[in-house]
Amino acid sequence: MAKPFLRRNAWGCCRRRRYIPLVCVAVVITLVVAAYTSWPGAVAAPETDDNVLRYDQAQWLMTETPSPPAADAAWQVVPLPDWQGPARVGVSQFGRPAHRRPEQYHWYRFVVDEPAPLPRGKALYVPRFEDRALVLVNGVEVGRTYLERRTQHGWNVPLWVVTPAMVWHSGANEVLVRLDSPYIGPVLMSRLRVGPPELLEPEYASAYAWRITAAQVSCWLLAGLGVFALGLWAVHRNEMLHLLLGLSALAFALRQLHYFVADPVISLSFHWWLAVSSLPWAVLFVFLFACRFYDVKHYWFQWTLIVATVSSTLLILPGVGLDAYSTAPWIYMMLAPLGVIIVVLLTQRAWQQRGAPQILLVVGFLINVLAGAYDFALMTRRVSIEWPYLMPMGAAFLLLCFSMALASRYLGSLKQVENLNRSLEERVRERQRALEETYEKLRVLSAEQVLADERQRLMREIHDGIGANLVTTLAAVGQDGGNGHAAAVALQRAIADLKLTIDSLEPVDGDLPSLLGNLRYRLMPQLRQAGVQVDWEVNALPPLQWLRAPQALHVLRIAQEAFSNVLQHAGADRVTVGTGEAGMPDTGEPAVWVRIADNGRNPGPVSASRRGGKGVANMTYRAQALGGRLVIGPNTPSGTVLTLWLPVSAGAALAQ
Amino acid sequence: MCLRFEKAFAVSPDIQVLAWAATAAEAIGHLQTFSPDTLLVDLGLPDASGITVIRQARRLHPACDIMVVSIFADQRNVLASIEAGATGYLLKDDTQEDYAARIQELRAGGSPITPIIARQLLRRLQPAVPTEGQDGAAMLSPRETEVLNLLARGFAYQEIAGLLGVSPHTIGTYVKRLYEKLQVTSRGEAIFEAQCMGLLSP
Repeated sequence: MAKPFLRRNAWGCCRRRRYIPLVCVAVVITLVVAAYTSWPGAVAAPETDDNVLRYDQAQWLMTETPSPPAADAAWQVVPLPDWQGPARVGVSQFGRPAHRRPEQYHWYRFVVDEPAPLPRGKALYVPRFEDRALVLVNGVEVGRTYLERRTQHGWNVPLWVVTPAMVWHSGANEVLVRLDSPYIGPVLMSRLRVGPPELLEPEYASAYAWRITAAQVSCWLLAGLGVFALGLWAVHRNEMLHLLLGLSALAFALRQLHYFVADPVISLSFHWWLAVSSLPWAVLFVFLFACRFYDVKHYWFQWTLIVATVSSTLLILPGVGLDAYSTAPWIYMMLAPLGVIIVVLLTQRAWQQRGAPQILLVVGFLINVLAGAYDFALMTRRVSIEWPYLMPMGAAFLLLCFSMALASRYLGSLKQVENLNRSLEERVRERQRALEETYEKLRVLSAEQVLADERQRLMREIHDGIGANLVTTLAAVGQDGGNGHAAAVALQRAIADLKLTIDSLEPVDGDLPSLLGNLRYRLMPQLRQAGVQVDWEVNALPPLQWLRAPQALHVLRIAQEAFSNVLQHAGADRVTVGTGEAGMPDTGEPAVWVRIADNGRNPGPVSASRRGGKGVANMTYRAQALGGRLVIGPNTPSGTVLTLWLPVSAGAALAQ
Repeated sequence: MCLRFEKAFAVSPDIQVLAWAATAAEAIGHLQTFSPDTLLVDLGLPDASGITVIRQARRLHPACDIMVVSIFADQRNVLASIEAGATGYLLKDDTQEDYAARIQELRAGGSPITPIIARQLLRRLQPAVPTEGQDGAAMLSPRETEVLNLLARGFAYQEIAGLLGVSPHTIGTYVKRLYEKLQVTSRGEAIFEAQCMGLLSP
């Protein structure tokens, strides 16, 4: 389990309610930045300011030499904005390679009347023109947008020239704007504004912000987002969404370049190829992203789109086939159905699932589609060319929405993991507690066991030592030849007693027959010597769980006493030993019985009196200590029956 | 102790003492020289456990019958000796006639057993869950299980023989064979454990 997931403080602030203020703050900051860059236009002087001249039409003329035509040449009045220049001269330059394009200069002529000499120069402002401009006032060059022998073309940048006062004089002043388009073909001229710089500047600044600055900001934003997403993917390879998001953002970032880069470092044809082909790729990645996000299969369709994108990209590669710049409208139009498919997919899923991520996806993409449609209208002159393109902002918005959708989903799963972790932690704690309790019990038990084992070991050692000594002594006494007979008997008894104790220490797991069998084995020589025959009728018994060393010793002593009575007092020649299961007399609880019956003399009226004397009292006491009972009675036709009842369960009071 | 044995063996014509040893080292030395039919070992030797001598004897003279001399025939010592290679035991306080009889019984192929040891054999040789990989030779046959059960309940050889319709001597040979099975099993366990501990390559 990854450790960081176990900490919830790190992500605790990301619950739904807490991030709403964060989003608000972000929106406010974005608005402030946007206003800061484009505000001057909004607070600009009203358009009706008398000092600003606005030209809705111009005199136009095309020459094939760069020098200005004469004032009395065949000027033609055209309305502004004007994009028909090349069409009017009947030469469509559209789509032609630069080296095969005839040299054409489009002149736009304006007349500015000044009643008196100007104290300061005027500013000239044109919101949009294409593609290169040279500005002359009264035949003096006051500004140009390009350098000779350098590929520079500003199709999106506004024209802004602040003229010196000395070029103006009282009366009619001639303003000439020369446009040519050696690289891409189209020639555009929008309305000219002439006026004091301080009045026109806000207007220009605003147009510049919308057209250029916005594209730059968007480009950097998308590039950063793309790198970030790819970085995430590099760390976490199996999350393809990050990869697709990153690639889409980077494709869009590349697309933004053509809005503001006037002199590209690569050749112009590659520059336009990049600009045109990056859009299908960006949309393709968005589509694949949506498919992954919603787990849409239809792999054949996805592959078809990928193949189509690759082939169109290759087709418009410079030097391969079609010219990227002039094929652009067709490619953009082909993207429209794909855009519709994505809109339908996103809308349908958002309608079904209605989560924040789903809504973010559909809103982001819809805004972008609208921006694209608007831009296409602008490109095909259905919207005034003086308006800025919106795709730069649309793309940034789209990618931001998609990132937020991913983040939102990610946070959702993070929360699940968090909950899971919390419950896991809880369970682990529970288990740990249980384990600790068990360990504690085990520790106590094993401590007791170790103590018991050690005690038994010590006893064995002692018995081994004593036993060896007794045997040696017995051997020594035996050599005396009859003198020490009493001592020999005593020694033999002592050894027998030791054997009994040792047997009681053997682990028998509550198996009473084994215990009795061992006693029989020990007594066999004596019984054989006394000529007593043993009928062994011992049956298997349920294990007595309480039968441990101390209890086993009690049982053995009772049985030994019974046998020794048989041997010493009864005068019997046959003893029957049997076991069985039955209810305890009186109480009826589950019990086992051991019966030792001989065919000797009958027992006396008082069992404790003659036969065995104190022995019977001891036996009875031991039986009671085991929670059992001892019954001694006469056997038929003669002899004694001793029956020992023992409980099966440990419920009865036990001797220690 | 030695004296008692000497006396016992002096009167029995079939028994000839090859050598006496007071220490384990001495005994192992003798084992290199002689190849006895029977070896009597006391476990409490001054320099090492008798188990060492039993192992060595089992290795050098596989046909030799090894008997442990014990005071109590308690299962701890007897089982350890059987695992090392012994197949019989003598009780120190047996009568001198018994000594010779026991040795001859063992030579004839019959081993003694106490009910408690029978019980332990039953437990050790009959796993609660029979496993596939178990060495077949070490498992108990149904007849052996029956015999061990009766022995564990304290029945004598004659009684069991009567119940099963075989001679008492057959029961003695059963027991001896069971002792050998325990040796095999415990050796197998030792090998298995050694493998687990990485002492032996599988």
